[in-house]
Amino acid sequence: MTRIAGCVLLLAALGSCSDGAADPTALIWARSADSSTLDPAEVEWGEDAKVVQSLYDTLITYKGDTVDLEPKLAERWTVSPDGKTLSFDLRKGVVFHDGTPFDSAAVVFTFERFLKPDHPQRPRNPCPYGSNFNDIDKVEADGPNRVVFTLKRPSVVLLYNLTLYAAHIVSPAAAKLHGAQFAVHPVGTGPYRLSRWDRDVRIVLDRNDSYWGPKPEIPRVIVVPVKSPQTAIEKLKKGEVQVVDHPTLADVKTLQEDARTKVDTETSLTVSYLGFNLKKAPYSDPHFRRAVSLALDRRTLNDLAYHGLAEPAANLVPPALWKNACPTPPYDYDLDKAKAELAKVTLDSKEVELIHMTFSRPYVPEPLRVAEFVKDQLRKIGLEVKLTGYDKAAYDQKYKDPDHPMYLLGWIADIPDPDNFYYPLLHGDSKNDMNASFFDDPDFNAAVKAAQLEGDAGKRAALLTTAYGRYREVQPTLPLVFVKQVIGLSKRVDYNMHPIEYRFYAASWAK
Amino acid sequence: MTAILLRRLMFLPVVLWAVSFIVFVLMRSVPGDPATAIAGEKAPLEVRERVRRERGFDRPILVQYGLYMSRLLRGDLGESYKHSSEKVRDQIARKLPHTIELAVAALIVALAAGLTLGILSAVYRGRWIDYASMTVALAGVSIPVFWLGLLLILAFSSVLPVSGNLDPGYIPVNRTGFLLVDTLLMGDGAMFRDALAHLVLPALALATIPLAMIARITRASMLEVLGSDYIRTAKAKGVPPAGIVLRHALRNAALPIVTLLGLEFGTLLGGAVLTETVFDWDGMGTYILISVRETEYESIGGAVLVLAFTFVLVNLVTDLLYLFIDPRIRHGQAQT
Repeated sequence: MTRIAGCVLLLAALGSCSDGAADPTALIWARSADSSTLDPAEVEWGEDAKVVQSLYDTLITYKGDTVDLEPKLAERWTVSPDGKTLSFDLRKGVVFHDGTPFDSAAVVFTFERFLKPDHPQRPRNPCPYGSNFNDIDKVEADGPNRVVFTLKRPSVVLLYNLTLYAAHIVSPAAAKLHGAQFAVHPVGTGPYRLSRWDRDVRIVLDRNDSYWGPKPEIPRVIVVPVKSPQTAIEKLKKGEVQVVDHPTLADVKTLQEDARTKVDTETSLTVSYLGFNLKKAPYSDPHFRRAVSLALDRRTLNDLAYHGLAEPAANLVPPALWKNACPTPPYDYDLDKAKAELAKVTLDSKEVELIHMTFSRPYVPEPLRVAEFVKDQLRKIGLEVKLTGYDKAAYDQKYKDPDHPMYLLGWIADIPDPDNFYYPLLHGDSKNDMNASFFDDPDFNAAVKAAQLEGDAGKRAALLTTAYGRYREVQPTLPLVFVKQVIGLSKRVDYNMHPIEYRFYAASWAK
Repeated sequence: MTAILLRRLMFLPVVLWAVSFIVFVLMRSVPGDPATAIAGEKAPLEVRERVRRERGFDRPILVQYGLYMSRLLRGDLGESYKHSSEKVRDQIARKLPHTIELAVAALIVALAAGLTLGILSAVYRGRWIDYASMTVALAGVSIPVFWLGLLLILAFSSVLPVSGNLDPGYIPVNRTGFLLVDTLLMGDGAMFRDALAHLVLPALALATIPLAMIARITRASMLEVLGSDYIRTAKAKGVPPAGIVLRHALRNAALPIVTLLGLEFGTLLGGAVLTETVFDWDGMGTYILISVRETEYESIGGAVLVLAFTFVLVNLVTDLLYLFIDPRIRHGQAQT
């Protein structure tokens, strides 16, 4: 008996010391996984991007929580009348974390490093976002505080692309010093500097006290991977962490109701969609696709698979980016019409197949629920859907396979422009990549290409309207919902999310 | 005995080669494309193809195997694809101490509890203590680690930490890689207690199977020894019961237990993969899991090789322990 009592005492003693972290001034930020690189040019996914955006600065950025551009490391920029030259006047007196000055040479170095295949400091892994900068012909210094980008063709979206990961300005001295190890010894001009990185355990960011701009309020941010969202939320409630950036939608309510926690939501550039292989029957039959579209009730889908926290979509492009363009009427839900459309299709069998991922993605946090929903809905019009799930490695290959059937996918846009949806997802050029429907419509292609060059907002909207019209008519994919970003916060912390950028430096202790 | 050890040592390369071969074949037969994993799903085809060429994934499989083996023979475990430019060796050096810490803690729990239960049920054979201990043992071998882990989390999440190796707020100084040792060296009592608290539940979950096995073997082995003549003699001479059990019987019953310990260490390493996943424990198990998900061929190969090597090594040490425990073997008069 005494032994049991002893054990209980020991447990209690051990347990009692687990509350209250060591450093009360540090903000502990939980997310689903660790970074794989801190080299901007190697950034491949969101978890990489998050830390990079606080360690480095770009020439331009988004103003406040809008998606409008404003200067950052540049003081101002000008675009030549022919749209092929961009000039940036750089901010003076900025220094990198290693004390070297920020100047035009650093900007030229940053871009040449990933654009030139034979650059001596080229990163070990390819620049996954390199193709966003394909329009750049050369980057030249014009004196120490001015940089001129010469473009191969006028580009409407390049300014947006200059907010992307690879465009974060790196210290040339540090990149040369650390060589292949630059990814673990990152040096930028950002509001935080890297203090320590224990792979898969923590990244410690300390405030850059010589930051040129407004300094972050919180002196130290510790970014920790906590794989399971449930565990992360438990830690949030106990006060072990103050931010959880990957709560499941099902947790939102409990976080709102708990006295210690709160939730912030924000629109995002994220859409989920159902795609068809246009080269395979019966998916290639427009009547079949129309029938499927008419059978999907997106409102119910939102309630069932997104806990009502998403928005039914009538386009791939979120409404916020669709200002000045054509109306996008919601999709009809009508089972009778769907049956009538299906009757026009010659079906070898009533069985069709839907492939889906089994892992959670921001656009489909619960993929199986979405797949089951499609299955149930299509059964109502007499189709039997065979569901086949794949894990990440297999699925990335599967939906690019020329013989796949219907597929479930989504997209997180990198920049707030319709082109970032239409070109990579639907243009004929992208058939080997994300255009997994193999959609290749001459009118659509021409309109999207022309819109990339069109500087006049009105004409550009007309071109994008044409593209939307073709997309809506052919239905190579069916947009399902627009997903919101959700973040769980301790009531001690204030943080407003941005639709695109991730900003540790914007967090502060609640007043 | 020396001959046995030498033969074991000669066998080691064969075992390691077989393990590396199996891992190589298995990894390349499951779906997944490392070039896509490296370049990212948004990367255009030409970038993915470039990665494939640069990393040699486009070469004939036999050539890839030859290159892999030649690097292994030079002691190079390769590098992580995604975690730019990091050596697999360095990654494992960081993870292995955490797993060893967990496995050793589990072994201590299993040994302490298993021996106690085994001895008690042998001594009180057929009494309620016996039935109770053996029920615990049966449950221990039957309950899957991951399920028990979840039960423990449910039961103890309010008193003990259920995930990770250390509270995120603590930042240890890295000297040995073993958290308990490092926090002690730092002289930070609170951090040490926190590390220990994080170890309790995963170690308990991981300990159940070896605990049960040890209890059963101990019981069987003890029963055999307790029935032998010299125990009766000892009793006749008036040796106190505790002395008989602990000094005379246990020592002779220990041989099969030691053998079992060597084997169970393998179970511990394997079970660590599951336990670490349940408790979000940073170690070899989660490392292998993440590597499989990210199609990191070289990390998986390296990690499995290191685990296999550890297993063989532990069994060697077990064999050496016989020398210590059994004088018959030590003096070269092996009769059993």
